[in-house]
Amino acid sequence: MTRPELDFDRFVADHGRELERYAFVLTGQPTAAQDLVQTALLKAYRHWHRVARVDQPAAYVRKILTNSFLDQRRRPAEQPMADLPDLPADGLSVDPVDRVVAADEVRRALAGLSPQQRAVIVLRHLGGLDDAAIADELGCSQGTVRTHASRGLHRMRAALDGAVNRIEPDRKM
Amino acid sequence: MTDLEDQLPRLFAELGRSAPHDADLAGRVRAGARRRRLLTLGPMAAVLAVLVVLGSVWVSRPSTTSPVAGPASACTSLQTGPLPEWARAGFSSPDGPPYQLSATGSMAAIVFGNPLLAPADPNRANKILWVAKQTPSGTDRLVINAALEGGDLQHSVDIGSAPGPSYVDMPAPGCWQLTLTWGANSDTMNLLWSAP
Repeated sequence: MTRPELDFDRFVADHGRELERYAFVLTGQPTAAQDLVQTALLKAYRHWHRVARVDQPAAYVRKILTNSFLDQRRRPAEQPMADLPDLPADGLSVDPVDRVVAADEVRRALAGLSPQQRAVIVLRHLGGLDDAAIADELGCSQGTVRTHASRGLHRMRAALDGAVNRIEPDRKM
Repeated sequence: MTDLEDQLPRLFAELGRSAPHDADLAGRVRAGARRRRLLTLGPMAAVLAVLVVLGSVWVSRPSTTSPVAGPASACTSLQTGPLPEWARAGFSSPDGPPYQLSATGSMAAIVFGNPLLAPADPNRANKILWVAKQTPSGTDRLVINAALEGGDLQHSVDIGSAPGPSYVDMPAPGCWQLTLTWGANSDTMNLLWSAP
């Protein structure tokens, strides 16, 4: 018989960082992201003997996290840029200041979307999920996913308004 | 696919690198689960909580006896409103039960059995959840050495593997000055146990 606590620790060690990144892109707020990750993991932990047996526990916990995010009816005001934590060194040649600005531009653009639009776009472009998988995760049709994606991208494009070109001058919008 | 969509995976990855990291995420979740167990004792707990709140309102009427010790006492009313951010794990809302912070703010006593009673009510426990600001090693034991304000009475309680949930009964009502010791840490706190 397996020991749930050990399995859970192993799972968090393997997938915790991935969940933290997903939650942060989804919420755009450090504290909200940490709360969301803890909420999702807490729900999973309470039924860990079942979660550990599903085919893809990481996808299952991410789904819990996504649904928890969408279930939140009240979200605190967006955090100012000064609340963003320091970026860890990762060897990239991009100027750290530019990266912070770019990250903040993207975060602000995401903040202008509805929770559903944000979830669809983040799942598609950070999680790499296709429309069918996103529809399954959100419990909606693929048509609804495409609608959220289209409207969300339209809003993001308007919000960024050339910022992507500033972020990466070699590429055209 | 538009150029923006081409760039979003990289932009999101960049943003994701800014995500805060909790080195003890699993430990924090387990602590939250312990806390949640304390919170979800079923319908009876909900009914009991309502009765406790009603009882508190009754007891705190200004024209009658107050649960707070007199002005000269070191004990003050429990704090209400949002819990400190580091003490919220496991709570669905920042507004938890009333709580008291230790003198240096390193420990919170979240009081589920409010008001604390001495002697304890046989139908309601003096339930306190202890939360340390710094995550304990997991092998720490929380020991409370208490002295009754204005008297010689002393009492010691070993909470066991802690910080965590506890039932803390005192031998007499009054303002108790607690010295909390866990691991290499020590702090003080004043808590009031009222007469039933």
